[in-house]
Amino acid sequence: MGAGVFHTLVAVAYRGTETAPDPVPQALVLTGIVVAVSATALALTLGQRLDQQDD
Amino acid sequence: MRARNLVIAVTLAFLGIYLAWVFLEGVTGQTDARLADLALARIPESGVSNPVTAVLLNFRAYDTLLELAVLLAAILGIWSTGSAVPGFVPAGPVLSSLTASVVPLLVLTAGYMLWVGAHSPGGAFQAGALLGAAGVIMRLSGRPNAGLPPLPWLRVATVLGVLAFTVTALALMGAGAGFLTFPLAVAKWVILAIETAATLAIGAALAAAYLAGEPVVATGTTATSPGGSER
Repeated sequence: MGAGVFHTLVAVAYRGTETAPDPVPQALVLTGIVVAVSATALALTLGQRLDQQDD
Repeated sequence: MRARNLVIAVTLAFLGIYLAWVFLEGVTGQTDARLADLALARIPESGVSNPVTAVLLNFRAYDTLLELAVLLAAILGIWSTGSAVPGFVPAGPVLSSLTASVVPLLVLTAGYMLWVGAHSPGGAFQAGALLGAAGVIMRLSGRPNAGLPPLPWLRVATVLGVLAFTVTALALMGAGAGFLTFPLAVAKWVILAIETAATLAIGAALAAAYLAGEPVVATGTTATSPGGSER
């Protein structure tokens, strides 16, 4: 779902072949990716700790 | 169970339709009332010529500062769960020799990405991702700390992005320019300095996140400084 939103935002940045793509959504997505990766890393670590506790 | 699946399917279908509508509206809708024209028109004032870098590091600098803070918070959360899990067994000769050639190449490409980000696609996040990838490869090839520096230095590296950003912004504020407002004369060098610090911080944070815990101080090496294992 996150990847879908990112892809939609990047696609929205398209403004035809004459002009450069809209840089604002691209910067937003770049920020979003880093935040998503951070949250995923934290979630995966917490999941791993839970798994270790079960053993 | 069936009802729940149905709810999930319907929700996802609506989300898909909504995203398709947003996309259609964004591409075919009114094209003149966009932030893009405002941003593209003011790129000469930003100190860099790559529009994405200009938006990211200058027009929306607050956003980027907080993003680095989120990354730092995630690393602190990961470290607070305990020490890193033990590393893998040392890699075979093929992976080891591949690592020996790929990792320097990644570091070199990261430096290139960082520099080129001022005028063409590239920048701190791309460069940081390459550094992080180098760390992941080193971890996979059996180095327990993913080639990261000893803990005291690693702490400095992960904080560096937020620190450099904040110190620069406060210094510029002290000089009368305003928080996160870069005067054109110094904008390029300020952005480059922040991006360099951010690259190191992102690379260190991504590689450290892959360890899934606070790095264990290597035993039996002379590189560890005294007191490195204390918290």
